[in-house]
Amino acid sequence: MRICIVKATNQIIEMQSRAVSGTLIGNAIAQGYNEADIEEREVTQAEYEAALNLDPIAIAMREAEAAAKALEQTKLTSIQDNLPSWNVVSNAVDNITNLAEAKTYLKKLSRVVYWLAKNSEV
Amino acid sequence: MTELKAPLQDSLSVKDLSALVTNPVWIQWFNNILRYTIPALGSANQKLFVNSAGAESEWASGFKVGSFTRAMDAANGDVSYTGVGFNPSVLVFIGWVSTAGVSIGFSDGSSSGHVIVGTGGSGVFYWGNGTRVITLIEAFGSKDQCATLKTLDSDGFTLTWTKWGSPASATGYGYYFALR
Repeated sequence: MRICIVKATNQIIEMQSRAVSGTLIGNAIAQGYNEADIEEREVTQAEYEAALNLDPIAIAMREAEAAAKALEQTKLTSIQDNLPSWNVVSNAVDNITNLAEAKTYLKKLSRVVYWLAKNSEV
Repeated sequence: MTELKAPLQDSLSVKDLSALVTNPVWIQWFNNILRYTIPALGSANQKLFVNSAGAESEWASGFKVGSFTRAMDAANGDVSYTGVGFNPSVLVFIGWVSTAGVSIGFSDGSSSGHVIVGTGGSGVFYWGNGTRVITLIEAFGSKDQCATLKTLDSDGFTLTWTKWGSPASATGYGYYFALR
């Protein structure tokens, strides 16, 4: 496996699992990089993963992925809390006897609709 | 294939054979015969190919799987992929960036097929294209890096990448399956 990085930032420009020496340097130069600013390395899988831990783009992608997963978990939890089961929902509607209870139920329902429509908590 | 016949004359006798080893016509004939002889057996499940020079036969698996990345904000241009070990006849690609979608494509160098399965605000989308071989989707229909197969090379292939929209700094991933 070979990677080509920007030496100043550790950004991985390209990875190829089978490339021969010089391929990635050639690709980067063709893309406009200065040869003095970049470096091609042959790496093991472990070394590639270590390089990813230094790559600012890979770090940002991991953080964005983690944030997306957290948001999805919050959404699922909120839906579960507000609509735990059909029996609970059905009974809640049947047991509404005044405006306060109706508002409580409508707010739970609105919370779920808001998540589904906007995929956001706020 | 045209049948190869030894340039023997009826009058040629065994005692003259030793004189033939330097005869260019005979050397050419022997070469033509030997190039199609089967070499020693290869490993289990290997297949027999004619080598890249078209002069010998050889045993090989005939396929290779590899992976690569593509910077999503990279400019348009050609990118070489090497180390396949042979000149591919057919390539199959799978590509993705995030949960926005995946693409599957293939090409034999003259004909290509490609499909995207993408997700967006309103559900799942499908889109086919007979020119591209891979699309790395950041946002379906608006931000991606896509490629056509430019050439099948002696040790790999070359893709021509085009950037659509303005993808953010991110890394796209691809797998290829090369068949000899």
